[in-house]
Amino acid sequence: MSIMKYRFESFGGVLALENPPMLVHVDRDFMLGLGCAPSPLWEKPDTSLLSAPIEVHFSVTNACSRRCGHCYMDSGEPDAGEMRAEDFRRAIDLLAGMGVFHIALGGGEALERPDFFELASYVRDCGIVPNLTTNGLLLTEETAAKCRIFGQVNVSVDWSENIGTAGQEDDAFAKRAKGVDFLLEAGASVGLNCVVTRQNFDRIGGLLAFAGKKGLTDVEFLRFKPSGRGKLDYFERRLTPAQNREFYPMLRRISQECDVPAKIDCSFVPMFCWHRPDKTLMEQFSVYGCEAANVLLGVRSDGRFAGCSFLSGEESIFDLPRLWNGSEYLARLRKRVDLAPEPCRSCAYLDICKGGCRAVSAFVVGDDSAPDPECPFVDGEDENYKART
Amino acid sequence: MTGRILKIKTGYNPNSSSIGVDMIAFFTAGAAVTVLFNAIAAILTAAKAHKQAKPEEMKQLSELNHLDAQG
Repeated sequence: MSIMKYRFESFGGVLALENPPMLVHVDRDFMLGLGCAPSPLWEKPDTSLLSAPIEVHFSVTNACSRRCGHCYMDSGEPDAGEMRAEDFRRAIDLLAGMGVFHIALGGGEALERPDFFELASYVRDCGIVPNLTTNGLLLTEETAAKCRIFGQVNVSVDWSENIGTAGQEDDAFAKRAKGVDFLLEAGASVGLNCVVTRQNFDRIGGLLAFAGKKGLTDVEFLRFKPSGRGKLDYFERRLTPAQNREFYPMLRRISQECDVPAKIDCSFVPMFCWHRPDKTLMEQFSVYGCEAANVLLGVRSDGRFAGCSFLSGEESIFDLPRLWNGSEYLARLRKRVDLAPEPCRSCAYLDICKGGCRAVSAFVVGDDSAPDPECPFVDGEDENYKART
Repeated sequence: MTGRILKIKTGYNPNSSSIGVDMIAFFTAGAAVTVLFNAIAAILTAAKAHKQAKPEEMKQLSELNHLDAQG
């Protein structure tokens, strides 16, 4: 049990524990009670805008031999101008200096980068917890042992695979499952990622059963997004309005049955809010809607950053300390709540949800500041749904 | 312990594309939140005590304070 580090914020501070892993936001009095001297930040108005991202999602390469048809990063070949190791280390120095707590390393397929574990070790040496998303196909006994450096490793499960259907798992899933076994044997904390689509929606139970049987840490379910090659067949793969409404109660039921924690990604928060969860609880347990350009930031392997991994940006990570409070691009992303149109404007959950997924709004509506068109409060399907159920 | 815990986020988010939202709190109802937050406050206080016993870690915190003051 130890505080790994903390940083001040205008409201007080954020403390990071590594064992148990936890981020805790506290007020100014709590910081004083811990023996901290008052921060200059406390002379400024209390605001939800953080002094730096809490976590950064960092693609270390765009190379991926799997080349999934729906890849949100359009991965396959390395990015032109992909960061060299020394550039990466300089970027990590900068993020450590800003007080970033966690870095989620990914790709492409991060393990296809030959110097990947050296980069990950550098993140750890800088006092930041590295985490990893991998397709799991390159995991061996040897690489899995090196993965103990991560706070957690999540193995992504492809929507197109036959997940969890006894006797029907395809070869790729079997390889990923083997990778999971290597990680577990190495003593790493292991979870799964699964992009939920119209096609695999009914097979979620199989994946949770698999995770429960293996004793995995959790399973994170991600909404399919129109980003990268995901744009190509987005309208065929996205969930139906009925599935968007059924998702949370189904996940809750199956997660309890399989005794494995389930997580949803930020873009599913509108679907969660439709079930009217307790707002105070949502705030206390850090249920974040779109926190692009505040809680998180996405960085491509060529060093360009964006509000999140599904958005595109042209500014360089090396300019982030100057741009965090000075970028018009970041400022525009943060204004969405203030400028929210109806029906978001009148929604009780706006300050948490923040209008849903911008990548979806940008692709479907043509305006990334428009209300998420697939939010059940927005999609106009409520009456139809009630009639059917 | 004075002051308040405003929010917590447990676990890690290895997902390199989006923020994970832990559903456990909503599965198990919110009645135990006060107890949980008190327990976390105790953990943090204990961690602080642990911190005081390790000068090298205090140096790290001081450096962070210094960074913050610069910012």
